[in-house]
Amino acid sequence: MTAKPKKIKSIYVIYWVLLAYIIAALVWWFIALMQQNQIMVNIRKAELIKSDYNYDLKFKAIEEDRKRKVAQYVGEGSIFFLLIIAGAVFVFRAIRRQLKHSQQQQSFMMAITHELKTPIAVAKLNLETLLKHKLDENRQQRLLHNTLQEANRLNDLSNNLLFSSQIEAGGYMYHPEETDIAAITQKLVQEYMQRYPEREILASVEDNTIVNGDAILLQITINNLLENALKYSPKDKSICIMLAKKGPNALFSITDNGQGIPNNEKQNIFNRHYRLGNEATKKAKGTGLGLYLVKNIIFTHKGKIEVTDNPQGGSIFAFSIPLI
Amino acid sequence: MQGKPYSILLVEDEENLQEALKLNLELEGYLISSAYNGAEALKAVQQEHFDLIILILCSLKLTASAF
Repeated sequence: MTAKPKKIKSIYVIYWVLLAYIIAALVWWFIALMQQNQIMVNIRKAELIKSDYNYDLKFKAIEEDRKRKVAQYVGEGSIFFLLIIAGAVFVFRAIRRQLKHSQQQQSFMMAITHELKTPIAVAKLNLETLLKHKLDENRQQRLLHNTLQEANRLNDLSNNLLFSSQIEAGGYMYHPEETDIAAITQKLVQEYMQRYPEREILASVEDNTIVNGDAILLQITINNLLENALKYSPKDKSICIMLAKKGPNALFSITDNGQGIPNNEKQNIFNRHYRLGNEATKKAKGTGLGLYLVKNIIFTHKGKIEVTDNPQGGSIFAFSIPLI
Repeated sequence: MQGKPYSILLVEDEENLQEALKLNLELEGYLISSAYNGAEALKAVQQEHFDLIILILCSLKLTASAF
């Protein structure tokens, strides 16, 4: 665990040493030129003959030449200095971005490993338990139900992975067509009510809400928002889904009573691989792909998405996309 | 197993995994208490004696030293 910070530290040390050397070389170059200029002026002045009737004019010309050279060196030096500083800022930002990206990648790989292994472990353990023990009907049903829940979770995760990589690589062809987003919402709400019978899911869906959209992508969007709302809110709290026509748009919102999202994290949660909370304490579950995918899909549909605070505690995720 | 069954505290934040592990250990004859995070686990160990604690440190929402 100590190797990574050491490596990062050494990159920054090399960067600052190189920058300091370049600036020192520039300053040295400036001083050397100024000294050289002064020596040349002194030689030229020494060569002047005081009895020469043009002495004053020649002396003045040497002085003006000296001043012009000084101005030239100061100008050139300043431009060099500004270019070096601009380049240094650019390189510093690029290094920082690259390091952050590589840390995010590493964190993503850990998260994805956890998210993949857990449902597999649960399914395997449940099936082995069913094979090994003669359980009563209720327990058997419970284990099968949990196994199915984990299989659905794996399915959602693989969909997120597949579509986010396709969207990034430009491999997914967006197919907009007349789509009833109300039917998609109702179907998913029903599915989630079956998947999580112990949870209270309230839904108010306006029928025949037709948008020009891609049914698969919209389904992934609502699925991710539903999954997140259930995952990040207490089991005894309800989640509330609303779909309505509002002006030229279809407005979808999902309200949960979870911990809420701090204001300074509201924009970040839609970034790829971003996960809420402290990595060390593993406050955040998930892969950081879901909301990134949701944002991309809504933007593809020329829509808007935002997250606000639920006055009763928790968050409200709302998106709007144009109606047909 | 004969005599008083061994008591185990199982700390796991994944609900379904916790349920599956708990059932299997119970079927083996152990007495299982469960906790979802470090705070719940700390509370449990302060109230009760356990012969064994099974936990994943990164799921504690606490540092290892705090536990």
